[in-house]
Amino acid sequence: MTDSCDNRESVENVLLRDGYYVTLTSGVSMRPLFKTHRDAVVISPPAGELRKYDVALYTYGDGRYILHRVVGVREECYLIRGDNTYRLERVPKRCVIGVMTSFNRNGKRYDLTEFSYKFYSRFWNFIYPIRYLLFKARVLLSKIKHRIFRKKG
Amino acid sequence: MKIKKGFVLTEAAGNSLVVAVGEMADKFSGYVKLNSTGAFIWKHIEKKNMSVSELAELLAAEYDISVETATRDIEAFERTLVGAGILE
Repeated sequence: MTDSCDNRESVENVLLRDGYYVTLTSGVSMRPLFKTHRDAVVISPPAGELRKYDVALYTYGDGRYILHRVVGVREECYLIRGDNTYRLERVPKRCVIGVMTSFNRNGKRYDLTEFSYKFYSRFWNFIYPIRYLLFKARVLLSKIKHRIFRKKG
Repeated sequence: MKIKKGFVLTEAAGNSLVVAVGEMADKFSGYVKLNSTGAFIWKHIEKKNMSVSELAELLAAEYDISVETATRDIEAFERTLVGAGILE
């Protein structure tokens, strides 16, 4: 999920100056939690090492900022994956510049300690193997459909 | 006093911030920081459309100030946010 706000000033500078950064979300990689331009997230500088289920803001220094969820913590890196993606990223810890501390979803403000959010983040990660299988099945079906129609054509 | 559709209040590091979401985000970028009085007014008018006098009564009671002072504060708040295109 890439940041959509005005990037004239780097996010790192805003975090350093204000101690927080507020931005709208864009993209589909954090669905179903966030929808493009519907939701706003509050990012704070990491207070220490991130933990599993935290939502990290990271950049590789190419001007793109990505907001995805930590699904594992290793010595040198975080294992990170969007809620709607199926690729695990090994993100060096130095690339993480912030962590989500609250968000506004569909007009309602959510604290990360809220039961509904905590349940969602854990449940969604727990059923990842099932989601992955369904995703692969959809891809396979799509390929089969494509072949059948191509042969008929 | 009514908030235009597409503006929401959020909080960051103890600050109350108004941000634009949805289609409004195309017209309005960045955010507006509210002081505690502004946040108090916002939280009331986001629930329902309220008049200045109704709000003045509530604000005066909350901050132990006169209704006249509260009215002036609310009118200043309204002018600023109408000017910024946030209130209608």
